[in-house]
Amino acid sequence: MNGLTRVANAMVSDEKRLEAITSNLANASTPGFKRRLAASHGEWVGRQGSQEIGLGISERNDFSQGMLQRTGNDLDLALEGEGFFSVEGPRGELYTRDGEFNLTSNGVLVTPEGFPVVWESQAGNIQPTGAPVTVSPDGTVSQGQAKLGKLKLVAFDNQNQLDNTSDGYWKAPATAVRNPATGSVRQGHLEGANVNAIYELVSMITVQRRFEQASQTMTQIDQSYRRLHQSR
Amino acid sequence: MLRSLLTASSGMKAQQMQVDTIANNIANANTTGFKKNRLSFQSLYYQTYRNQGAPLGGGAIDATGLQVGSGTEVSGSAMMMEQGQLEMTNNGFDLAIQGPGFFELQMPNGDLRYTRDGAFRRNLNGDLVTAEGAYLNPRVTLPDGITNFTVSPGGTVSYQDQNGQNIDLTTITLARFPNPTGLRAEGGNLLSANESSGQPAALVPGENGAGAIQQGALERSNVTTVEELVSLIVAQRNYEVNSRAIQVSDEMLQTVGQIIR
Repeated sequence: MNGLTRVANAMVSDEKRLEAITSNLANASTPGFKRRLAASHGEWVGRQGSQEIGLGISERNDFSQGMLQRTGNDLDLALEGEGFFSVEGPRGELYTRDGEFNLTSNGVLVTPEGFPVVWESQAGNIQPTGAPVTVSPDGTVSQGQAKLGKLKLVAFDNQNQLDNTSDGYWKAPATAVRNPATGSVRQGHLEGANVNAIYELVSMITVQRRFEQASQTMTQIDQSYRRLHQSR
Repeated sequence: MLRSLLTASSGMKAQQMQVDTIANNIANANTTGFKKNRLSFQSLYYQTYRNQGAPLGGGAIDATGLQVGSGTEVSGSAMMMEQGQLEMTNNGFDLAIQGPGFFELQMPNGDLRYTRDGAFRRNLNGDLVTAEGAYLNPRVTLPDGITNFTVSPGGTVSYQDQNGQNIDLTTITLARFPNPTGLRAEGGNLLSANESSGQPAALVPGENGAGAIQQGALERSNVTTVEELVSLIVAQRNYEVNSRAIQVSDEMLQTVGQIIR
């Protein structure tokens, strides 16, 4: 692999990193959003026997806890600690940390997109105009004195396997090992995004400067080729 | 780089709308029965460059993949139904709701609207109406010459006749919705039912989870100015940071243009 390709590779990797940073910043107000970390890593390229290390990039979610914000809305649920709410998406179960739930006129607990929230055994039937709904830290939903059931809270052995879908949901591969969640539900709260502007800005500066250095290197390589051609 | 430009601009657009919402909340801090609005944000489509588990060469597989998000969007606005503070006015025509529920109003054209603003007055026929002339539904009509009436927490309207006899007139019912955050704001403190809010149930105040009526009081808005100002600061800073991201993307694009000298 020649120098030019290598430098171009580095620049493309910086571009991807910038995309991840801007996406994090844009989602600083999205409840339950988990920031994406881009990491460069050595990657084997080239044929067997003459392998070289190039620069690859991979991304994963940083699943650290976001700040809980009080909203005072009974059907706003936040998770503190490990775990996800599971909801019934159009193509199978999806997972989310964004607990902005609503009630349909039939008493079904749904997400803003209208996906029904999944309960542990049997979906509890909430009286839409009945007594106030309370949700205990373990996810048990009651209305007045009556216990209606428990929301399904799921944790994963390997969260990095989760696939981001649009609208802020995660999809899990069939092979993922699911466990009961250890986190607890906080009613009347939402979990804010775990985006830290300082961290993202610092990363952005680093990316920009490295990008500039790479581009200067590219100019130098280009000029040295040019001199080589002229000397002939 | 073009992607990150668009991503950052989606963040700016969302924060702009957030500022608009906060401004409206603050402007209505003194509006009777006003419920503050909140925007919900959601992350946009993720571009998958490489799937989890994709082969990386040399027999290794990718543990995390490469998916980049494309920003944020405002997915909806919701009314926060927290109780506002009750302010005593000692005016018998002022009614406040303590707890969930809405007064049902019948507009002069027959449409039904809902409100938490219980500043009523009496029209020529003795009906209880709002400032805009919408009737309280079911209608409350005071007999001629009666100006003093009482409304119990349970919604019973009664008055004393010439002989000092208590006469029950009617009962005010409150409307409760399956999903009150989905009510549509129509301006003028009025809300209307729709598919998202569901159809209302008429309930006796104080029963089955409906709020109680307090006569001689008005419900203030549930806007806390300090909270709104803090949100405003956060929105402004997020806006700035996103604009900085646009600047950096632009500068990096510029760098590319200067590679060949």
